[in-house]
Amino acid sequence: MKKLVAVLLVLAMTVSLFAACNKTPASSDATPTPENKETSTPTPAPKTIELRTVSMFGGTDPSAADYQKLIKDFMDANPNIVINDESATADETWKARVTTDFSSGNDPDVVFYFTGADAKQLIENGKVVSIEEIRKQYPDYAKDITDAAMSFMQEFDGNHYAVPIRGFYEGLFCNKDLFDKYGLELPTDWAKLETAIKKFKEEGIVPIAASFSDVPHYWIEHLIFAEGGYEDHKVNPTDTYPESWAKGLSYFKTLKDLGAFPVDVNATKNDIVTNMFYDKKAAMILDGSWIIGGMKEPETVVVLPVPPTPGGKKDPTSIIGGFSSGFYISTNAWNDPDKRDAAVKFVMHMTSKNAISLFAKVAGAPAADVPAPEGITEVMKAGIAMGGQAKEIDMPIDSRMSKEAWTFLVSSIGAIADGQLTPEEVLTEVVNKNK
Amino acid sequence: MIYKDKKPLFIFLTPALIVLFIFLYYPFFRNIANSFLDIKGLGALGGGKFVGLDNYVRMTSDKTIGISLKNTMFMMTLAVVVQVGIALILALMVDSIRRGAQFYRTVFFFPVVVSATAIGLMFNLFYAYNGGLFNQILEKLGKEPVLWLSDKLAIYMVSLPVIWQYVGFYFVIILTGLNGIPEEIYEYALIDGVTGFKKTWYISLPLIWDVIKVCITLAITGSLKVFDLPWVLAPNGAPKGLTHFLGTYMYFNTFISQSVGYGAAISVFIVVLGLFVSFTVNKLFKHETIVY
Repeated sequence: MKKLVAVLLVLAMTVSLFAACNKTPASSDATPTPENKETSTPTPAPKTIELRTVSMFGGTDPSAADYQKLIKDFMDANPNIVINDESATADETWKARVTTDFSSGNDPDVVFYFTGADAKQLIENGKVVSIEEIRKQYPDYAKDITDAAMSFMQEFDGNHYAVPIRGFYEGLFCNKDLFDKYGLELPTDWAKLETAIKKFKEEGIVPIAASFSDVPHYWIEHLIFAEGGYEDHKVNPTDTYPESWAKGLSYFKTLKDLGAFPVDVNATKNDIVTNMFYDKKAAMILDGSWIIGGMKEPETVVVLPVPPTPGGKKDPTSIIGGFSSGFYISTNAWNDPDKRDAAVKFVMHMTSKNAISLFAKVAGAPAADVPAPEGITEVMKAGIAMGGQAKEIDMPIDSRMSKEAWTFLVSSIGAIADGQLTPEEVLTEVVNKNK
Repeated sequence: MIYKDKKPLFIFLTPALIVLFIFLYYPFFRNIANSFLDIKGLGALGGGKFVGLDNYVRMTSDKTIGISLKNTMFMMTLAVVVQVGIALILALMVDSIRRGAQFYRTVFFFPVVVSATAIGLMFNLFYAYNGGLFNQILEKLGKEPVLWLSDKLAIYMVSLPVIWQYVGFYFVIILTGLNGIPEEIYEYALIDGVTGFKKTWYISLPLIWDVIKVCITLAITGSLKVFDLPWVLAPNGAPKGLTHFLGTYMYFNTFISQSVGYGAAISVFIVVLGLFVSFTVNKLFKHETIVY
């Protein structure tokens, strides 16, 4: 008897252990709604379809609330579709979680994810379905997206996979009130930039808020762009690197020697320096359009393209920007006859003109032809104007390079700025890691 | 012997064994296999390419591995000498007082229960150059602000909260060991005229030697695993990778650089180093156990 009890106990423990691992949400079929109870003639309830969605509209993302509202609207309009959304702030850990989900067979049905280098392995392994394939059955899929926006979505195999909603631009954000206070001209050329740096340094204001230990990414791209121009910036250094890359990176030392960056630039964090800019303790910051969401006084901020370096090949109007993320439908969802239609409906809802207007009102350029958001701030107007005047727009360098090569470059910036490593030494290693 | 038949015991042990196998041993051996592969990207689809010992060879020419190893050894030394040392002194003092021992026990143990992330963020605010607590104090004293996370100071500043946080942990272990010494032994010693420092040196320390040895082993293995607090305080080994420990550098390679095979090789190195150091320490501190 004792033995039997022991065996039963162990079985119960083991079963409960595995049952806990097996997440099976209760089917909504099991609980009739009040409406169902009242129906006199029993009609078969439509089958409940659950979609697992993953996006980067989580945490403090300025579009998080709009995204959740759009999900609610979608579920209200489609009562038989339940959205289990797993949104979180996009960082390297989040990206790794998404790829791990795909590699372990836990594929989300719809995912809002990055394009380019980040999406390459998903595409190579057939984890997501192309827009071309979807349009064979759903010709109206992504119909509101402009050709210009869609052109940024083209992947290495010539197909398009992600449906974009909002584009971005990067630029030199300037606290114009500080420039006015000290009688300085905005840094529309390199000489004016250096003059402003020297003056702000004298006045005890951090000229440029930056963190080399955390996010030197924007400065890497822009110094290379400012020196090498559009053609050199487009290069993916797999065999060698353009001369202009080394020259461009050498400006890290030039600017640091001028006192352009915070004293603790090698150890501080991006959040801290961003707040320095918001709080007017720093005059300039190089960042993306998403920074506008957190600005306390956006009416006093303007955004400009980074000026070309002396002798640099960049057109003064050219900027880094584009569309680098969008909604994907996973192959698993596409191949599931129950989920296919629901997933397409969901993406079409999220990429409708109405939804795109909501996403674009925070910052960035809309992916569809929608009216300009009402009541936009001065800095948003400046951003739109900068995008409109740009002769060339290129995507960031890291959308092309291998993760390992890019991380090595990023982690070497502090040493380049301090003169402990030369740009040539670093770039040689970058090429080796990028092969 | 309570049970003559041992079979039920083995049956009851099975679930724990299954869990350990799935969540510890399988990943561990899989990690060893991964260290011989070139895997680009975490959760890389399509697996990796076999590269033999390349990842281990790469470690020999990686300067940051050298920095990480040096920092880990430094942390190990600090943990043994400062962390366990302070904990021992505090425990001996608290053991000697008649009233308020519980108060000190709680106060010294408190930092252990605070999350490393919170402590990391707190020290971040202490060390900030602009408006940080330490620099505000210096300013009030009319001194120039200090760059606490400079190339030279950073490793000391990062080690400080790590050491501080776990003193209480070893303090409680040692104090428990001291409380276990029978009062009669001290009374006999008192009759023989042994008091003060002599009592500590000739009676307390030898009797808690096993406890100290456990603390030293825990401190050493703990130093090898140090990750959370330095990562929050100085992410990516800031500044310039100078504050990397083996744990943070392994994380950096696996999750940030997404060179998963290389990260796996570093973690195998950490395990081997841990086994070697623990074995050496056990050999060095081999001491006859005193039974009382």
